[in-house]
Amino acid sequence: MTWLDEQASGATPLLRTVGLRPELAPLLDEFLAATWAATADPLTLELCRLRIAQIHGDRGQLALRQEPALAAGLTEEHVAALDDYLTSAVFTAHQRHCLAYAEQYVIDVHGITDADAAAVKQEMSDDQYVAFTVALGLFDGLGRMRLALGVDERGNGSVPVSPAH
Amino acid sequence: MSTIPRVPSAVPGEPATFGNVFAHRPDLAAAFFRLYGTLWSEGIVPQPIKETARMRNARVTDCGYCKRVRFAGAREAGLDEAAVEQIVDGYESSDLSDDQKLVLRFTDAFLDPPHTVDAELAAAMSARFSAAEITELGLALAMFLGMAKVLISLGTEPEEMEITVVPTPALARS
Repeated sequence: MTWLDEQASGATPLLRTVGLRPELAPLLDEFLAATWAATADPLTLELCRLRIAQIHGDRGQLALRQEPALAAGLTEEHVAALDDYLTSAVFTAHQRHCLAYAEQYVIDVHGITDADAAAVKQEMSDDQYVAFTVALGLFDGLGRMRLALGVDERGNGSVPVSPAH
Repeated sequence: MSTIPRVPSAVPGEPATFGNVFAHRPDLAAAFFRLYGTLWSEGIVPQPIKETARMRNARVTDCGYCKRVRFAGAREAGLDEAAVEQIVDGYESSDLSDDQKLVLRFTDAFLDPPHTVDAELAAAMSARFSAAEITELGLALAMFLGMAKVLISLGTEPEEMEITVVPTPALARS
């Protein structure tokens, strides 16, 4: 529950908070939508978003499932195996590289090595790598914002959502 | 850490700076800069307050570029180098204003796990800033942190850089 003493109207807790700045809310929405539109691999990106939510301890975000990822084959088996992504057979080698990169990105971005980056880029073009990196920055930043402002998007189980979340 | 760009510049003949690497995705870059420019140019939080939070993030995140850049609007509004030098650990005993110290406590809560604001800090923030201002600060911090990390992970931090005052990001109007 947010501690802010005012809320705007909006379909989601995030929109009700960011809607307090009506000049900014549609631009954030646009940036989020562009981030998801830019990826060629929404399943892997969603796995990384969920891993970031795990690291943040953001149970609200962990309950959400991005619709583009569901369409690309995301299952609850993937989500349940995230804690063991290094060894679980559910994930491809590329997904493991991306998850390890996302984890290091949140914990200590300076610890990302050239080898880590090269592993991720094995199956990404330069523009895909830039888009992936920007997406991680957005997930990390917005995740902390939600927690700091108490934007609670907790659901009961997995809730499909569009990128505006 | 790497100061060697992990992606070449998207602009032929130009160095692989953050902007030139981001240009590999002009759609994404445009969406970001629309948000970021509006956040700065049409914000309701005074620029020196937002710049105080940005500088704290820059130092905690250890972004070599962000630490050395100053936005002109905040500088012109009074956030001089003597003030910026006090945005370090121990700021509570500095000469910074009460508002700046409060925003620095908020920034630290944002940056440090578990990234939550306790009741005392929430009450202090709500007593001094409106909900809209706090939201703007939260969104600003999300962008400061996120993009600092993008810059770092892409290897676009400069090896050396003097402190540089740059124009405040602005909304490009067509």
